[in-house]
Amino acid sequence: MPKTTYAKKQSGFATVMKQMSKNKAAMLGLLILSTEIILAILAPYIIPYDYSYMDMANMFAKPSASHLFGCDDMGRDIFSRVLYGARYSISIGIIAVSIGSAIGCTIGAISGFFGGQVDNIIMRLLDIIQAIPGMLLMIVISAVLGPGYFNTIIALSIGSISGMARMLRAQMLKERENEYIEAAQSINCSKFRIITSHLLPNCISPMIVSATMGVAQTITIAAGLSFIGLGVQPPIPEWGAMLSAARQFIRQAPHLVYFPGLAIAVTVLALNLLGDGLRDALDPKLKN
Amino acid sequence: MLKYVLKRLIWMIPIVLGVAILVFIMMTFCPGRPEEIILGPSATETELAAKRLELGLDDPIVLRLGRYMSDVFIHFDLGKSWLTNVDIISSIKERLPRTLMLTVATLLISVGIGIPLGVIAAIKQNKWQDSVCMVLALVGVAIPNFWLALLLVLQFSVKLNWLPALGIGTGLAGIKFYILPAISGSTGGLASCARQTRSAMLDVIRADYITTARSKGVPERDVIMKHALKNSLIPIITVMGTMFGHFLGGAMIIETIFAIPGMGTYIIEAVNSRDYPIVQGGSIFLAITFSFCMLIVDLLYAMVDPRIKAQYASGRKKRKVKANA
Amino acid sequence: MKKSFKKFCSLALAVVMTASTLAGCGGSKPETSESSAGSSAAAESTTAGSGDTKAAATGSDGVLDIGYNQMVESLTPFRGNTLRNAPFMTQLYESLAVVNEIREMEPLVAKSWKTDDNGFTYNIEIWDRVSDSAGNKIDASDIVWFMQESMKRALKPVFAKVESVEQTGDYTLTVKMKSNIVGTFESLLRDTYAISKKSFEASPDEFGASLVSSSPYMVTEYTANSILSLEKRSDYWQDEANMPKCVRPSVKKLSYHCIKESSQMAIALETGIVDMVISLDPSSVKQFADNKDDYTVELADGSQGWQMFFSGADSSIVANNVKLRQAICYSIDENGLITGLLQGYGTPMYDVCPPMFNGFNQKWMEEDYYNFNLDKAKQLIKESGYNGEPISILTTSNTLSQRMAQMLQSYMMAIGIKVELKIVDMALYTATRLDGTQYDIVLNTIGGTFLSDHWSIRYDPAAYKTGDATSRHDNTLAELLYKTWTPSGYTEENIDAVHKYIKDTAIAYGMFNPQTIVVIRKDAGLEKEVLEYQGYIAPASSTFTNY
Repeated sequence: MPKTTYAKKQSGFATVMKQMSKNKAAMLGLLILSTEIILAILAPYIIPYDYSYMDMANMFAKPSASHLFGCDDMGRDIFSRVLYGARYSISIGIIAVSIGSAIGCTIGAISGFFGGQVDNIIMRLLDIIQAIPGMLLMIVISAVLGPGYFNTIIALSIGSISGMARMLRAQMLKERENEYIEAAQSINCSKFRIITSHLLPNCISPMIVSATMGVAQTITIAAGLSFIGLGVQPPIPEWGAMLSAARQFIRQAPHLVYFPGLAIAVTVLALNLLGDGLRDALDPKLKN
Repeated sequence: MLKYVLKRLIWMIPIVLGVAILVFIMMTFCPGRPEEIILGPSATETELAAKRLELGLDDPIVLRLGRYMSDVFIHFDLGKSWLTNVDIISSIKERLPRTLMLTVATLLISVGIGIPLGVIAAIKQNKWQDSVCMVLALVGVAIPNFWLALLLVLQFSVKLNWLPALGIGTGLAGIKFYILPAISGSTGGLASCARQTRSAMLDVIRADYITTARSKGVPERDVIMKHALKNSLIPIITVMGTMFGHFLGGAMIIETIFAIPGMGTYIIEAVNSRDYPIVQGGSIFLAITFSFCMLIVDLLYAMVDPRIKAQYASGRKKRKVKANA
Repeated sequence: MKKSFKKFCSLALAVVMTASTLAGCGGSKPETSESSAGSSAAAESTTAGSGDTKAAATGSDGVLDIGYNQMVESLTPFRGNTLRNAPFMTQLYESLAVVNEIREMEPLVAKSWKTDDNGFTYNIEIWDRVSDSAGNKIDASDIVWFMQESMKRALKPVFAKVESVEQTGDYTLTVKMKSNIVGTFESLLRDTYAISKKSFEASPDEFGASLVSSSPYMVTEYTANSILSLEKRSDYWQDEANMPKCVRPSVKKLSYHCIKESSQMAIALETGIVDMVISLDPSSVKQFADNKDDYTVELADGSQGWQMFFSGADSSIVANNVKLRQAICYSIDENGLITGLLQGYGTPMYDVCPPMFNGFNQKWMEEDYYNFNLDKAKQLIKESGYNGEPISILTTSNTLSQRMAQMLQSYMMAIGIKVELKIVDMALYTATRLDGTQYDIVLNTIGGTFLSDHWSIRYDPAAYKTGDATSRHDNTLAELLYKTWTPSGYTEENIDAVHKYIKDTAIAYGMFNPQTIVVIRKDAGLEKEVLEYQGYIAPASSTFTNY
């Protein structure tokens, strides 16, 4: 997570946290998200049933004391599956966005700092990639790579590169005009140093916000890929895959659809609340 | 202005070329042998080889790419489907309008509801109206499209029987077929539109000229509608282009659920059957559509912001504008 | 246009407002109350919905609307085997002969056929007044052209079994077969369409988007993978009385709608978008079966069944380990699969092929066909010396196959077998299913009319480059197979020998046979039902009051 960047600048991080703590919605988001992550990590130890254990006697069982969220079409415990699925769904979002941002930021930084022909070429290439609708791009990449957990992550991260690159570049262009960069250049700071220690830290806050939102978006896109039959494959209980597999039972046994859908909705909601909070906390304009 | 439009149109050519090359290369790496899918399992090796030869699959990729590019960009021929022999351009002619209809409807709903929500939220900042609007927007973004689609169908087609659950219609009556699909696809964009509007409005409301207007005694309603909203529209318009692209992609899923024979279902089927020419041709057309939309958005942008219009007129480079925005 | 847009916008706006509130409620309501109320709400809506929509369906345009989950991707008569059995095929093209509901051949374009050399050479005579909707006459030369073109295109396996075809008169032709495998010529009759060469060549896209019809129907509207509308022709060449009952046209206008989402299919039926559904997903049947006043639900035993085929490639651990294969077969609870996957709408199998196949011996149904037996499975796995190496199952990513694979995985895990699922898209599946090195088990559903059909495409080691359909080279089995391939060798005894061999070696296992579920709205007014050869209603040939 990009948070590590802030470890160096303790004071900055602390201010942001302080700002954030005033924002109840953001704290709620953070709370939900951290609970989910902890549950996901502990999932193998706390789930009441094996997530792939089938018990035909419990087919479509309604939620009850022994099966909190009921059972699915193969008599598997939905609670266990949703809990275990958090590992996959959330990690897909986070890893894909991290990879996407890392690559995107590098490209954006190079483009934004060097400007001129380099910038021109990179931007035109990104124009091309962006001209292909995102979902289509990811469907084609998924078809090339084949389904599966890691391949889905790769497809999703490639999909998020160009947006990130563009965003960072725009920030860099803004920052580059500032006097302190001129000052750094005048004392012969190396370009690499200027980028890493001056420009990037100042551009990073909007990136964190959009990465947070990006994780949310990625989780829903992964669900979309599952719908088309690409994406993570069963029996892995990824939420999107669960939701899309259960959709045919929406009338007969709505609880099959509600719980994974709810899990996605709550996570996406939490990420958005957190992202909004971060934006407010990081935006100097709102500090008055 | 005209010069600018022309320039943009010319600039579309390399983009479309790039998309064609990119998709072509990606498709060649797709696992699965197209000739086996076309000919079926009973085909002998000789027949398969003959088909490969016919489709030119054994030629080096550069040669194939060159041939394809010359077909598309010199002869304006996207070729025929490998599987069905149907001319691709004629299929697209039939299908693209449906996808466009869906996408535009989705965009209209997002903007038509997103902006008012954002405005209300901004005017009533930190009051309950603000929270309600923002929660609505957030819930929208949090629900996976296809889930929402199924819920909407159950409510509006099955329970209330107001709207058709799937398919397409003809003429004016056909519009109602697009309502549920458009709503299902719009929620994500709607939310981002509402939030963008809210924050842009908040920025503008704090600006000096608004304070001036207020102090001059301009009625509050006019301040909001004439000054604040118009100026805060600018950042919203810039996201509209991206949103359009997003909806164009999202249409692939929505079309599947609602059984709309548009570009999305066309391309997905083609990916599944490794019908490369369709995937390539379809992508090119979607890219052209998207580029046109971006152009329109930029023109709208100029219309709303007179400063930019002036810049175009004086022939200054557009990139500068973008950097400033 | 502008006006309509405005109208649309305002309407949409209103709807969205309601929708977002609704969605908000649905999302945040406590789950327990929601799910307990869920089923009753659904039941409520069923009755309410059907009451409301009756008007919509009967106030109809005189078109019988039919929901089906697949659709032709093009109208070309040169097709592979997919969709060969789809309900619209007999209305699109007219073949030399058809198979009727009791699985007998009945002549259609052909008048008669006979063989003088035990099934190697056939003389066919066709009707002398066949013509298509463009007014072109169809004679023996067109039939010969169609067969030769099909042989060249090699899309349907049956044409590969034709040695040569020759016109012998205006309305007669001779077909020489490469072998006299029982059922092959019959398939050929069924798969040879009467198409006028002249019309075909005049078409810019080989009938891709529009079709010159030779059947009693003509296509009035067609969108690939979406909709197919047909209307009865007034200038059809044949007297209806001369036609086989199962293809005799009765309904004047009909329209097939391709609906892939199974929940949407049920909704389309319920809201009257379609009047009937052919092969409804079992998950949606209950609401219609419970409402006998408004719907007729008909079940027909499936004609294909689902099988698992074990890899025959030496690299696979199942290839040479008969005990392991048997253990797997015993570990599978076929009734569990039927309940779990099909909500009970299916039957167990007694052979790799379902009883509907010609040649199936009824006495097989009394034998033990790897009936679920956990103890036996555990004992066999012990004897097999299975070393814990993972076994891979290859299947496609459609919903049923995915769920099937997961259930099989769970059954096999119960006897200690580690299972890896290889769930791939159709294209990749097609590319790998004949290559036994790519999987240990492949799931498939194989159609056909004669047992010999099935055997020749699955177990003949000479059939494919790598051996049989799973890369196996079993010459003992081949000997047994070849014996059944002649009309005189297609005897109960020889057939039984093959059945027994496949069963004992467990190289393939028939798991279950899904039923075809047809649901018809009562307001469609079904009067007289005519069955097609797979045992379910032939929509175009049945009589409906309203259509």
